Formats: sequence, C-alpha cells, structure tokens
Amino acid sequence: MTPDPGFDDEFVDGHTLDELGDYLDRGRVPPDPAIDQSADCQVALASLERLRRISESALSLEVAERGEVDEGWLRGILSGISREARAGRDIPLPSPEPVGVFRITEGAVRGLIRSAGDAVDGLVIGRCRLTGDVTEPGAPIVVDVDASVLWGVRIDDAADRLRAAIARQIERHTALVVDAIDITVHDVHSRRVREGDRR
Amino acid sequence: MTAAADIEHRIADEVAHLPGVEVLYPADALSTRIRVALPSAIGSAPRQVTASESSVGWAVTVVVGIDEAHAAPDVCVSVHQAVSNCLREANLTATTITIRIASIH
Repeated sequence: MTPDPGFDDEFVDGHTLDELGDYLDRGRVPPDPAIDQSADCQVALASLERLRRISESALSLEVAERGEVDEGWLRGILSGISREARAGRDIPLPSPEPVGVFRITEGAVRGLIRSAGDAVDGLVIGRCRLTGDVTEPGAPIVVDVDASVLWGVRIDDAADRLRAAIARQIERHTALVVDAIDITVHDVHSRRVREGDRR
Repeated sequence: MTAAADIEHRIADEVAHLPGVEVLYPADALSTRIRVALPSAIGSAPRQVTASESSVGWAVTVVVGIDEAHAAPDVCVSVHQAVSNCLREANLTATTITIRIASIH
C-alpha cells in the first residue's frame, strides 16, 4: 500500500527525510520552492542540520571505538524530527492590536526547543512534547524532553544548561506559562564500549 | 476594482521585506500563503473585490517563518502593521488579521 504523505510518519509535508537530507547535501541548490516555502520542511531542515553537526562528532567517536554506528539512535531521532516538524496546535500570542490574532504553531515551538539544544555541547534532543492545553492563554504546561549525551559529558550540568536555554527561548518567543521542564537523558553514547573495556 | 489576489501579492511583497521574516506555505491549514477574503468567503476562489464590499471587514491570514534573532511577538506586530498599511492603501478594512508563525530558524 502506498503511504499517505499527509499522515505517514516518514513524510514531512510530502517529502521524505531522505529527500530533505539530499537537498541539504546539494546546498539547497537548485532551490525548490515546495521545500523552501514549506513551514514543516523548514522546521525539519533546521533539525537535520543540527543533528548533522552533533552526530559528526558522535559518530566519528563511535566508529573509532566500536567500528560501527548505533543506527537505532539515529533512526529514533530522525523519526522524532519528521513527527515533530508538523505544525500541531496553534498557540496564542498576546496581541496589542484590536483586530490582530497572533499565533505560533506547536511545531515552531518544538523547533525552538531543539535549537536550544545547540547551546549545550555534547547533548542531542530526541523527542520533545508540550503537555497541557497550550491553546488556552495562561494555562500551565510542562515541557518534556528526551535527550542523549556523549560519553564524558556531565549529565546534571548538561540538563541544567539545556533547561535554562529552553526557558530563555520559550520566554522570548511565546507567552506560555511553563510549570516544569522535564529532561530525561535516556542514552549515553559509547557507554557500552567503555563498560566493555572495564571487563 | 481590485482583485483579492492582487492585495495578497502586495501583502506578500511588503511582509517579505520585513527583517527576519519569510512568507511560508503552511502545511496543514491553508492552501495559500496569504489569504484575503470576506470571512464568509474564506476557502472560495480568488475574485474581484467590489466597491460595495470594500467597506466591509475582511479577514486576512498570513503565515510566516522567522529568524530566531527576532522575538516572535515583535514580528507579529511588524507584520500586522505591514498588512494594515496594505489594506489601508486598498481602501479595505479588516475584521481580523491573523499572523501565524509556523517556523523559527
């Protein structure tokens, strides 16, 4: 059965992540308006670029130590990118204009949270969720973030820095009332190799 | 008479010149980047704005992506101002001007 580009996790606004990755490889040349002017594709491209930057160091370390790459880790993050690039719910912004209705999409905010991860060396954001009624002004919400870190990075420090970076971005760009930013570090890369070395 | 599509193009040009702002196609809600229509006509094909309609309130929706260096609420105000100016030049009034930020990069 042919997957439905509108609903399949593999597709971002009708494009696969492979297609978007190839587009990045070509330096976005020739320009493709269907990608360049798609909000979802822009969110996904930004996430792919961030992932490439961090994974270059992570993968080179992993290949050097294990001789292979943890493809499950990459697959999980890529799956999160395609799923979370979608616009999602509309989040209201305060408007000083009588006829102005200002909104920011949930997908844009998730992209913002991912970009906050850039401020933290050696950490990659996997999945992020906004829990609570983001469509209701003033309603408290919780930001849930799954992350993985590179071997040697202090997890508590990295989590603190990520939490502060996310809070800054959300405060600057939205009117969301954040009750908590929960960060779960679920993987440390090359840990298995290090443990194996100790045996 | 002015075509609604002409006003949409004019708004697109104005908004695209704002610093850090890019007009985007939304993925899930609208088929065009900018929609100027009477509230009752949203979703219908672009058409001419008649003189009798020009004084009626119009609904405008603009979907943009913005540069991370610019705070989203500030961008909304700038885009709103640009849209208001375009409508004023076309002698149109708005019931709502919806600015939707769909991407921050």
